[in-house]
Amino acid sequence: MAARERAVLVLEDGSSFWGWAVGAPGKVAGEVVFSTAMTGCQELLADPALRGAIVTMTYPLVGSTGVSGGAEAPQAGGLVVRELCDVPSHWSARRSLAGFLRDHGVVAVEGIDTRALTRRLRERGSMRGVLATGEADVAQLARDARELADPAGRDLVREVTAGGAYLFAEGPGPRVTVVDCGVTRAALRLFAGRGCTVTVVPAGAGPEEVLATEPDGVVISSGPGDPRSVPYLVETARRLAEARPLFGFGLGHQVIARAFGAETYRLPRGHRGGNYPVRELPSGRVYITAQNHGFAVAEGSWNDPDLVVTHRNVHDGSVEGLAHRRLAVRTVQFRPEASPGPADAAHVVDDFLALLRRPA
Amino acid sequence: MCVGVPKQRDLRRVMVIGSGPIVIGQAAEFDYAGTQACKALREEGIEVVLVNSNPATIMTDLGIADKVYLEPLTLEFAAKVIERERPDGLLPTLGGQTGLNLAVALSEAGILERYGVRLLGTPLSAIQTAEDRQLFKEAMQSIGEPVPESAIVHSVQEALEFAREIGYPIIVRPAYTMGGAGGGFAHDEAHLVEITARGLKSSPVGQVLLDKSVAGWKEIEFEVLRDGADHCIAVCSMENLDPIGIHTGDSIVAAPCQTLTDEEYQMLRAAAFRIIRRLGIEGGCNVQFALDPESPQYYVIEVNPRVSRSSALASKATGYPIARVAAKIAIGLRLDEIENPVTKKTTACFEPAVDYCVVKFPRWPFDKFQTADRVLGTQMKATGEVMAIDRTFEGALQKAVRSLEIGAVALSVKELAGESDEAIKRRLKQADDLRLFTIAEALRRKVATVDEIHQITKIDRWFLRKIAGIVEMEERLAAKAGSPWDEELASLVHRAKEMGFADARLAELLGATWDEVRKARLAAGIAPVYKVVDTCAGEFEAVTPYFYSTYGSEDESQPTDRRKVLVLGSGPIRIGQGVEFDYCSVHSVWALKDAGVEAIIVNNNPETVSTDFDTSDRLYFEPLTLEDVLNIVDKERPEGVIVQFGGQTAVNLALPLHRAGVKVLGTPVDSIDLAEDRDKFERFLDEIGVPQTEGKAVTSVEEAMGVALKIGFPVVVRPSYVLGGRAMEIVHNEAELYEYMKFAVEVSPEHPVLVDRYIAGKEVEVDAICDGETVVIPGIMEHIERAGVHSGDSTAVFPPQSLSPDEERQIVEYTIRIAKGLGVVGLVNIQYVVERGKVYVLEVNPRASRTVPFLSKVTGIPMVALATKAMLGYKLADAGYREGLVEPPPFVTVKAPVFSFEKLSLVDVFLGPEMKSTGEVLGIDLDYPKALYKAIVATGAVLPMSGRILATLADKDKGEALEILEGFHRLGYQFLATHGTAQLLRSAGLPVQEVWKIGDGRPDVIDVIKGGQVDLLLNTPTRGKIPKRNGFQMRRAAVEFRVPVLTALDTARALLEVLRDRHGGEELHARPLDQYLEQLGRKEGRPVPLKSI
Repeated sequence: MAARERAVLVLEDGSSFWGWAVGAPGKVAGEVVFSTAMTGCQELLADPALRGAIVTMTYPLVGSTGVSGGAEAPQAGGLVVRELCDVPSHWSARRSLAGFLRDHGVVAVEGIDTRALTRRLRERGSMRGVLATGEADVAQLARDARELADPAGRDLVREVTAGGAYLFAEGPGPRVTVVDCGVTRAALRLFAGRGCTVTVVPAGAGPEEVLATEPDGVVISSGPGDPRSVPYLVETARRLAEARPLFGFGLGHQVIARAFGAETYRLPRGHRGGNYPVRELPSGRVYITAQNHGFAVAEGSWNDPDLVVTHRNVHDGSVEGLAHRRLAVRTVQFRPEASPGPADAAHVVDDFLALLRRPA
Repeated sequence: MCVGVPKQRDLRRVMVIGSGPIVIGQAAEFDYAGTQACKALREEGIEVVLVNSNPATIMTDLGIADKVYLEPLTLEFAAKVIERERPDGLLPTLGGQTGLNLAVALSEAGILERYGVRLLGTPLSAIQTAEDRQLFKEAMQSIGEPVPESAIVHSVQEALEFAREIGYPIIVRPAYTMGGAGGGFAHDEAHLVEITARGLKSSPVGQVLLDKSVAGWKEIEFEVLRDGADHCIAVCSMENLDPIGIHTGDSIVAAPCQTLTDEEYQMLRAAAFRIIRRLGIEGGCNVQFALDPESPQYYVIEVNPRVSRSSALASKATGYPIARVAAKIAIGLRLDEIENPVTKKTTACFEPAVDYCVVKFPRWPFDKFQTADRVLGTQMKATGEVMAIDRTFEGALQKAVRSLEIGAVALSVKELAGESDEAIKRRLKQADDLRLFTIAEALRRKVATVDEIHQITKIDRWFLRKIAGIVEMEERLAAKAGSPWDEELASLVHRAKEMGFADARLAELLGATWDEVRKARLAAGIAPVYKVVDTCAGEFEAVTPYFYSTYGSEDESQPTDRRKVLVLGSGPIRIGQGVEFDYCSVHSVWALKDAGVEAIIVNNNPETVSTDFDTSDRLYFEPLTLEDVLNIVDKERPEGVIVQFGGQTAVNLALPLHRAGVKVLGTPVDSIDLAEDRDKFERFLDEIGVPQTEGKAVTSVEEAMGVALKIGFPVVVRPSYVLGGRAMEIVHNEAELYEYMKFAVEVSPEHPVLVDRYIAGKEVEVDAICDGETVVIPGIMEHIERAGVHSGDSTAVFPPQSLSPDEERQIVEYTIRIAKGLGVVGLVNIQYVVERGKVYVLEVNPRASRTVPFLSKVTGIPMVALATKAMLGYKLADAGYREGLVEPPPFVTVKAPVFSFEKLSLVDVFLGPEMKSTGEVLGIDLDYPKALYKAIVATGAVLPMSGRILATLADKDKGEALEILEGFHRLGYQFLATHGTAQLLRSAGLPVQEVWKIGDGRPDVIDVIKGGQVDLLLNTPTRGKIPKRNGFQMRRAAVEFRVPVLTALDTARALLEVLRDRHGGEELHARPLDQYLEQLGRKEGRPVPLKSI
């Protein structure tokens, strides 16, 4: 057996977790987050909402089914696992997750007590960290982590949004234009699958550019980072809300909320996984949702009395969805497209499409 | 804002049906589920009426339900309970298939309607749709869920027609049976005819389902819950290592699924939700899928519309209490209104996230049933299971293996060591109980590659590579044999420990002793840490201290500095060690808590109450081996360990723990050892003047012959250190003895074999509690079958019906002398044989026995609690107990064994010194015949009130039998008999129809049994065990065609008495246990309740 290279994750509080390098060699710094999803590491890593983050999986055995053909490039900066499967076993596997990570320059480490790491993140809150392969100076890496710019201040959306507008799908249904803040293909399929003509525009596209696509409805997608770092998107949302039915999810939900004057805040620990119960207030029903966010809309922080909470997280009571009484504005914090995770609440898309002039 | 079903607030009293005796396919999981459900209902202010015939259960404790009926789970008795208690609702989905079938019967008989009893939870229509193959198929088709091509047939002819259409192989399953009883896998026409005929007979509705075989596909299960407001959640997914074709109860199972993509996982989860919505299930449900390993295609295989063995496993695997939540759903609560008791912060409306891997491993009874067919298929054969948790799959798998107590500490068993390479290759093709070990052995010897094994077994390569990894690690370790403990070896050992290697295995591989490995390992700082099972992968703080070991960086166990005691559990349910010991472990835990002592339990059986999250103060889900227990002791530093309640599993650890410097509470370890050492024990009995049967421990064949000739045949022979009478036999002559000795010495080379005079006397059993000063005997139990039938298989009567005062006096006196002589602190079980007024000791077990729950329950004496408190230093006298026999009750109770013979082909049903029963039931009434009747009925036997008895008797029994047969004749029974017995009957002037023995002519005994002409078989065997024999085949035929079989004249005599009483026509009553116990309360001299000590 070839000697394996060591790797270490160092958190800003100075704690370090040694393991073995299994991805690309090198060093990566970023926010360290954990996901409780038990399947779908491939999809998770590709979620632009995790742009630059160092992701740890709480489930210890990762990569058993490998990476399938047509997998999207990873967005996360690093991966921390207990055990990475080197020889996948699945009919759809084209290659191993480790090889995939190496090819895409994602630094990864296995052999970590990821439960200990998760508990640390749970107790101390979200932290910055550095993941490095080879021999490393832990104290220096801890300093590096502390000196890392707070991702809150950085516009990560610019890094993941589409380079230009494009038509994703054509259909007999309504025309939906998606402002891409880091949208996943699964989310676009959610609309395409319902017969919509789906146009995608970059996050920097202003309201005029969006309206020029002649949408029946506009969607602001999920994406990475702090909604405060994307004031231009908030402005776009403010103007579009008056013009067209508007739907937002993930970051899009936070952006729209801010457009109505709401404050957002960093969650003490992110919501990342496939098992979050969300209550839909009008029906009283609870849905199990997929989530992948680190910020949330502050309850009651807006002054528009027509903006009402429609969804709430059953665990911590945080705001999970909004609707406007006067305007056709609907948002959810969770990820209706799931992938990974359950798509039990995908009907929110239908609810939105029902508001359009040409409903699906 | 709130929609959905409001809680049914008018529910005041709810009846819960238990699952009855432990049989293959229905084990302790329903005690766990039922107990949790009863507690959940009472929390909501609902009065619980419980019916269950199994006394060895926690759920039948008076503290768990408000009214406990230890009555047969038959329509007749359930109706009587309903008539008497008038419950508002009935909860049918917690008592397994038994409970479900009974609920259906009550509904169909109009009883529920007549008394206005609402069926709670899942509606009857859903149950029927899920259970009826045709309705199910239609329901699945209506929502576009794929089901394998199938047909429902009512005859063999129809089955053949179907086979002509779709070809072989075909899966055959009878409708409405549990554990797939009577089903099988047909490869050709002959198979199909045989299995279908059997299946039609064992299905209560005469229906058999034929399925296109998807053998080799992945078998995936989802445990899902749905509430009345249509919320659905998936608690856990499970993947069977063994693909479709082997019953899930006989499969090694991993949780969560290991080889599914997110897409596949979500596809099946969504399908499971569509299915429970379509069926309208309100509560728990298990959905089984077959998933093509080469494409996303899947089939729905089966739905269990109730809590099940799988849901018990899912509960323990995730920490999510499914039965508790299902019970709350049944009374109208919504998932989001129910608290998650593990975090206390979240609700039950979420899906557990786990951050470890779980492996379940079945425990099969083939160690007891040497002749049984060990091939696994669609008919479940395991009696129990173990579960193990780790952060690696390898760790969980190896922990599971060593939890089984089959003598394996790794993926290696002695049985395969002697096999040739060719034989190993051949064995790969056959799925039997050793398959995992065969795979490891094949990889070890390099006679097959992972790919080849995958081709043969269809087990996913992911699992096979894990096994290959373990084997590879074995090689790396073996290459280090004799090396010094340098950093390199330490690092290798650390990796091996992460993969679940036991110290014992490391010792084997490294050529060191166990002690050396342990010392070196600890010196190198390689010790396990303990993690919490918290339902949420660490996202929220958990309040339930439920731990498993792993090798990682952080330990979460945080032992307290309280006074604390460790209780060893009893491991998997197996023949000889059933749910009784879990009952005892749980009561010991409760007693400790009651005494203000922190109770820590270690166990590995996911089906049990002892491993429920709120039973102990701290739960360690770990193997019960010395290493694993010592690790916990090192961590927790308890003041002592209690070994008396975990059956032989725990007792076997007494001496090793003691030697390792751990304090064993209660009876001194020397005494435990003494009771199991024949020579020492004989000297001890001589010293205290207690007679025992003549005999000696021998170590060679010659010595055995000498002893046998001296004391005279027949003799009882058995290896020392046994439980459940394994390999115990009565031998009648030198040839038999010679044969046995060759076999027995094989069994246990380091331990001698006992040869005792066989006394065909009355067998009597005593359980006593002693605190070192006072010996309290709650009761004497008399066995109906004379000595020679294993006590676990005997029908036991309490109080005794035929003991003379002098015999009783001897028994009491000897019991006191033995208990005091051994210095018993806690419980002791003693078996006696009574011959011509003289009492001899047969066996002393210095631990809780399987009769403790039953005796505790019907005497109202909390035996385990008293024993536990005695170990803590409390005195029985202070609680008002006096030395000697407690005055017997004015009612009669009968404990009857229950067998699972229909599940195990090629096993002889005749009763002998080897235990064969899997469970037991209780009959309780005011007199003996009524109590015995209830016990017999509760076993599931259909007692023919008239009809034909097929009698074939051994010559030695003929004299004694005549009187019994005449008795049956007077009650109007007719006789069929083989030649010798027919002659006997004729000579006594009794009419008889003679039938041929097998091979002598037609119709023979098999023909008349298969032809439905026999209502009862009375057959006393000359010798059993050999499948080719006439008697063996006849008894098997009777079992397979559901004809009651009696193999002992004593049982026949007792049955005659019962039938005589029943022909008298007096009505039987169902009475709650507390009503019986009240009669005790009024008597003087009863002890005061336990609370006061």
